[in-house]
Amino acid sequence: MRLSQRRRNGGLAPGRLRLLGRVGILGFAVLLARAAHLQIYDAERLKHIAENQSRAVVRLEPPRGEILDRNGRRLAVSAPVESVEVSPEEIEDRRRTARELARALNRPAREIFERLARGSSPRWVRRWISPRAAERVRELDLPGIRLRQEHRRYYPNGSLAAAHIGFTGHDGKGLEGLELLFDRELSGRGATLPVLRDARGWRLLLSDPQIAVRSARSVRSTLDLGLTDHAARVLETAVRRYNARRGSLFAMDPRNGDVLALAEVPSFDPNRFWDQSPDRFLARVFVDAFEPGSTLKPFTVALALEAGVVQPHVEFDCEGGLWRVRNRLIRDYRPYDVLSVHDILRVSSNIGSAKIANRLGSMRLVDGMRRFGFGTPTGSLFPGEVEGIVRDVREAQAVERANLAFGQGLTVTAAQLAAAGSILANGGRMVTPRLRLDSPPPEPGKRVISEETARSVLEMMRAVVESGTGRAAALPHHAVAGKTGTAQKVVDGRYSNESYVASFMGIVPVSNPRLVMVVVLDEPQKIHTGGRVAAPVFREVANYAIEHLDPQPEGI
Amino acid sequence: MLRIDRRLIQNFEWPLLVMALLLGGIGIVNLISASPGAEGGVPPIAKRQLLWLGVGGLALLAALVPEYRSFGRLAVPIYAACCLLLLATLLTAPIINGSQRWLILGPVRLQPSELTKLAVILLFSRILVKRRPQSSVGLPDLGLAALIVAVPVLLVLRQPDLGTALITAIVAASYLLVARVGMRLFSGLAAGGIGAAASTWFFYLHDYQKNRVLAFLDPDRDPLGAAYHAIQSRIAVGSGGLFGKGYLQGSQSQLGFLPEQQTDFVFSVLAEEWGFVGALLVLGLYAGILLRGLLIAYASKDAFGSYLAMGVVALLFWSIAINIGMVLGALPVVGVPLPFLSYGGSSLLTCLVAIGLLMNVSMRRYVF
Repeated sequence: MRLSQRRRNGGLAPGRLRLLGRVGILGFAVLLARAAHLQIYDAERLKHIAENQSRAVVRLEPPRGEILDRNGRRLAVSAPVESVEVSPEEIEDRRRTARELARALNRPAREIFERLARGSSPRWVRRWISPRAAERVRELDLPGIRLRQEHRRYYPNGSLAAAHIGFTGHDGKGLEGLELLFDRELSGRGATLPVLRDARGWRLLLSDPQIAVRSARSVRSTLDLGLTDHAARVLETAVRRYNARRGSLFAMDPRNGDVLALAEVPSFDPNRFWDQSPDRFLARVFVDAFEPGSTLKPFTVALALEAGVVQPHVEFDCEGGLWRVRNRLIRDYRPYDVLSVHDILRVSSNIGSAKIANRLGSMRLVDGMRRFGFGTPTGSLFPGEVEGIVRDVREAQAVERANLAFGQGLTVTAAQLAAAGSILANGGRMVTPRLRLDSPPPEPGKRVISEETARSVLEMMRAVVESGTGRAAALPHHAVAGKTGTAQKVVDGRYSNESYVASFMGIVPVSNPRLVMVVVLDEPQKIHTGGRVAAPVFREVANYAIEHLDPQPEGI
Repeated sequence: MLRIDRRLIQNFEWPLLVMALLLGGIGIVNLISASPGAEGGVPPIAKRQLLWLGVGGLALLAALVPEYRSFGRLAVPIYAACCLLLLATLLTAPIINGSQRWLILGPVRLQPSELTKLAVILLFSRILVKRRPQSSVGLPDLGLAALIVAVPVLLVLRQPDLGTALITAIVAASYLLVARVGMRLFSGLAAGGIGAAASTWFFYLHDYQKNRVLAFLDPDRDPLGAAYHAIQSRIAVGSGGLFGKGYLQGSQSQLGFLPEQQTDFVFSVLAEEWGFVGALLVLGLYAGILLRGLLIAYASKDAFGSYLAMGVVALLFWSIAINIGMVLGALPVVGVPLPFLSYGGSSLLTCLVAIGLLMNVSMRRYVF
């Protein structure tokens, strides 16, 4: 077009038109510069922001592995369960949605309405609803309301060994007990998947999760469900009968360390752990150390025999039941004049034990107790296991040495007591309580005492049950070795004459020990001796154990 | 009058038509991507836009065939009809997204405010031509012009539709640049304009409109509220980079982070998926149309043709500049559709008629 031919017959100023063109070109240049700034100069930063907005990762967890007992029976399982999720932005009629959802879930409408009302990102309305409630929600088909499948943990045996099996949180991670100890295997290897997230927060998977998720493994524990069940019932009855504050039971196989039964009374329902008292969550057999009292005497005797300072038939003057050491009076339950080492254990003489310890000396006594495993965790790896306290005693500290000889001035756990008892039972070797059956078989433990010493102490403990303080533990067809304990509790800094810890450590059968069991009852009322409160529990549980674990009666 | 002059065929304005249809086509393709969720097949929005493109093509022809000065003679009735339609809209239209913009005519939803822009251009061109001899434009003329603009602008502001009102006013004001307006009057007007802007801010703007301006000045003031649009648009455009993420691959648009991505922010979708290169291409086509339009205004044999072409160029320029400026975060967020690309039948129709008028002027530059 030739501009010169233009006729100038209007008010249009050609200069202004040219100016307009230049302004326009300038405007476009600004736009281009701006686009270049964003898309070239700032591109990397903005790409990063865009990716952060739209990229997310989700953790996909496989269903948690099961915890099984030694025979494959299920202690903890994962079951699919549905939860209700809401995307508040998609709701059409909040009030109506809340009302209908509340009816389907059987919850107050106000509570549901509040869950729907706040914020805009997707969230849970209610988790772990029943299959029937899920069906009702599915039928409602409300916009913005979705069902999501999850896995929740069930403990089919309820309160049985609950503190030991433990439980998982809402996120499926083990919080306590075996659930925590075996968490890695039980959780399996989940997958972290990149996903796209849209502006409303819904997630779109980028790849097929089936490939990525490695299934979780089940763990077979050493527990025997039947024995554990029986132990829990018997212990519960005893706790109730003697009005004790609580009771614990620990049973293991002295040959390989397999922990066969565990019980705590009172227990709790791990399926609803969140509304129960947390002090019931404690697996006290591992995490609660107490003063054992006379139950410790076999170890004093074993150390003295091993050191060669006494023989079973060597006699001690038991001072008529009252003996002054420095400024302290040591009493026996019943007065005796002269007792052999054998009888000192059988009748549980404190004075006799103290005199045996005198021959041994403080150093060898304390070192020996530590070699039996007191003062260190058993190695079970149970979460939170405590080590108990074994103090050093100087040779000059006669009172402390005497106390230690009959189980005062140190604290032990039931697990430590059973592990130490296993050393007597298995011929003198250290053994670690084992919680997992499908772990490699344990190596033979370090020798603590000679086989001869072990055998000798076992025979003395047999006499305890046959004719001593532990007669209530006797079984009709099997010889039982055992030791009772009745420890005064320390109340306000002094040994109390009202609060006791009654305990019994038993080994059966004596000829070829297969079971070591420790029973502890805390503060039984009126009747409080280990021989009358704890020994009967041993008898009933051991009777069941022998029948089910070893059908061959001894000696036949 | 409808006798086709051979010179009309010889001088057929191909470049403008080709560029406009190219943009229309790009618009459809881009709309398909801007409507995620419709798995498989063309989303209904793109189909409707395609239909409007056809209707607009016919309207373009209708704007092309009669000699353009006949439109000038009809300027007053057309203007009056548009004002009546705007009034009817305010009285009868349903409230959609908080404003009354659409006149429902059977199956068709029409936005009279779009067509009003052309009516104002026609009337302005007509009045300026009548002002002979070419003494500079005086105060009474300006008063009349102000009245002509004020009626439809106020009606559109009532809807409320700030963007369209703004464009109409700016296009009208653009005539000041080309008409012979004295320097003293011009500066007086500038001062008056600033005063008017200030009083608009304090007395006429809604809070949400003020918030948009404030959000533009300081985007981090309220990143999830008023500035959300601007920030998300900048992220989408910038993350597209030099070559873009690929068609249908824009994460920000496909995942719904971009607001209004079929209408006011449609350019973000294009810039995200086609990158700087795509943005450059589209801007190039716009620049081509505008330069072509300026040449037509230059070359027109009569003043009316010049004014008309100039008005159309101003309309397209301001729409493009304000929309893309907003999308790129260089201007505050104002609801102005992007010519040819934004979803909206009335807007597309208006743009094609405008192109038809430009072609009309161009083809008849040798006729008189």
